[in-house]
Amino acid sequence: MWSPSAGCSKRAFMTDSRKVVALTGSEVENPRYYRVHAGVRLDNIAGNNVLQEEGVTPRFISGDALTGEKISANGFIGFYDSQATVIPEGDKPELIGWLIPNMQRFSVSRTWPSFLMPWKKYRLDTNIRSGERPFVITGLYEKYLPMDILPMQLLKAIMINDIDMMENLGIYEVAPEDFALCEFVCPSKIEIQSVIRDGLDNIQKEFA
Amino acid sequence: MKALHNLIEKKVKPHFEQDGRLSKFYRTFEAFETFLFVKGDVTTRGSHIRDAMEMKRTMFHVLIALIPALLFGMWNVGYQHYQAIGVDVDVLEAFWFGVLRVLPLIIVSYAAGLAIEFLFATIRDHEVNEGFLVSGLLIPLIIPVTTPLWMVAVATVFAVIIGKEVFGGTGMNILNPALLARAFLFFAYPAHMSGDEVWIYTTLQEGQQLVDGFSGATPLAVLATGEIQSLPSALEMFLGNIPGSIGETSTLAILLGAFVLIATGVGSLRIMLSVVAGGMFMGLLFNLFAVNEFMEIPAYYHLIMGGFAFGTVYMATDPVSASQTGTGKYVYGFLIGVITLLIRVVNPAFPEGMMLAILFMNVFAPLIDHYVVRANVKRRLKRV
Repeated sequence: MWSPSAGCSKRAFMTDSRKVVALTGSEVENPRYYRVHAGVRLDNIAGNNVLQEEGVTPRFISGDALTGEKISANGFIGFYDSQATVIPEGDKPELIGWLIPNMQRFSVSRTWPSFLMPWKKYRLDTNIRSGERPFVITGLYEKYLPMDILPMQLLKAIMINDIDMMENLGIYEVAPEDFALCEFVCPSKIEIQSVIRDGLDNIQKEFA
Repeated sequence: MKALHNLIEKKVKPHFEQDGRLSKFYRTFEAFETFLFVKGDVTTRGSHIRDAMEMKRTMFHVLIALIPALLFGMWNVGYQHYQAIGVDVDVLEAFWFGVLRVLPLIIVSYAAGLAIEFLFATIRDHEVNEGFLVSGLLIPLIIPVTTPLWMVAVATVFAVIIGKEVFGGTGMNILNPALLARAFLFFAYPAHMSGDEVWIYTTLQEGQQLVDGFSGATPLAVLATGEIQSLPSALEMFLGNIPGSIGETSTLAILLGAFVLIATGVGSLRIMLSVVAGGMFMGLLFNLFAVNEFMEIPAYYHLIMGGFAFGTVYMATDPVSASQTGTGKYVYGFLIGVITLLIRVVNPAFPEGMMLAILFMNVFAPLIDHYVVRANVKRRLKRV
């Protein structure tokens, strides 16, 4: 642990604002670690490390693909993030893409052939594939949230801003990142992390 | 493909946008657009990557699971008809006869239901939901083949409006819409829905006549009148070449559908097994305390007669109207099985109990969930 008064060398009196950042993602040619200063600009480290492919726009993310913030190519890696991810944007429409079997699609469900090839690596993109729908499939979130919480009931309580119900169902035990996997698997494409964030903000306002 | 997409985006879409002439029908256009294409919309908030599964894909797999029951049902309609007039035909002819009788029912059901869905999507300004893709095929499969087309249309409109839209659309309904359509038909037009004449297509052409001793009674109707000896064999009831609603007769075809639903993870195995467990439990209980012949029939007979199998696999597992908590699903399914047998065996007014049992438990599912949630809350308070 660094402490300004520990040790007797000159270096001990200077704080080192460098940290290790991982550059990850399918669009990175050489995924590797960098020792950089906090708040470094992305193109300073990833400039020529990103795959250039015809027709593929990359998305730059400060943080990981599940919980990170979207940044531009010359954006900055966040203070609290120690990872930068580059993935392809999924902005190409597919003809009847919801029907045709496709080996390049990944799903945790068995409605796509991906469950037959557990060893395969995928190039996941940012295509959302569907507009937002109401909650339909039940029992799915519970599989991806290993806490004694009823996720759908909690989300519904937040959506109607029922403070008592939110407290009873465990809003104090969760943070938006806990629901990142639930948001990933959600077939109704509900913005779960945003809902949790709004719930926490509302509670904070309520008891401010 | 690029050409088609460009055509739609540049030439057709502008008419439906804000300042176009047909802007009122934007939601209709959008429904067809999302049917043709998975759009290139990307994530903006939250997780940047998303699972490839979404509602259309899920509904599509339920439709695949319904195909065995549909195909067998079409063949059975033809087979029962030709049996009734004493003519021997091969598989294809019987099947073709069935296609000609069942396809109009399917078309009317989808047309009526989708019209209402599109209308409400336009009025409420949200995307057309995929929920009716499945209900539209379920409704024709649970009615007798002789149902007039206008009745199907009225029942579908009733089910979609009162059963779904009034509560807020797909995902908000308390009752199963397909069963609500069936219940509407049952209570509004009882003469067309029950009795022995409705299950087989017996409108005869020149020169045809019914064979001697023809009876169009379903196995449950036979049991209700107490003639145990004229019950079809267990094998016949399992395979399904007996009178009944179009899709419900063949337990084998329904089992194939159940396999698809469970293999893809779309249908809840928990609910299906609970319903069967409840039915077997009640059946065995009746066997134990048998006071009449109906109670004496083997418990597993109930699984292959009437709408039990169809209701278990396709109706009880509807995620929105079923219990939505894991523990709740066991109670929900078990009680459906129990109540179905109760209505069938003990109640003299209804030969079939599955539809009413499922609708009844649909109403109680929120209560079951309430207690599961309360248990969760109590556990949490203990931890604090």
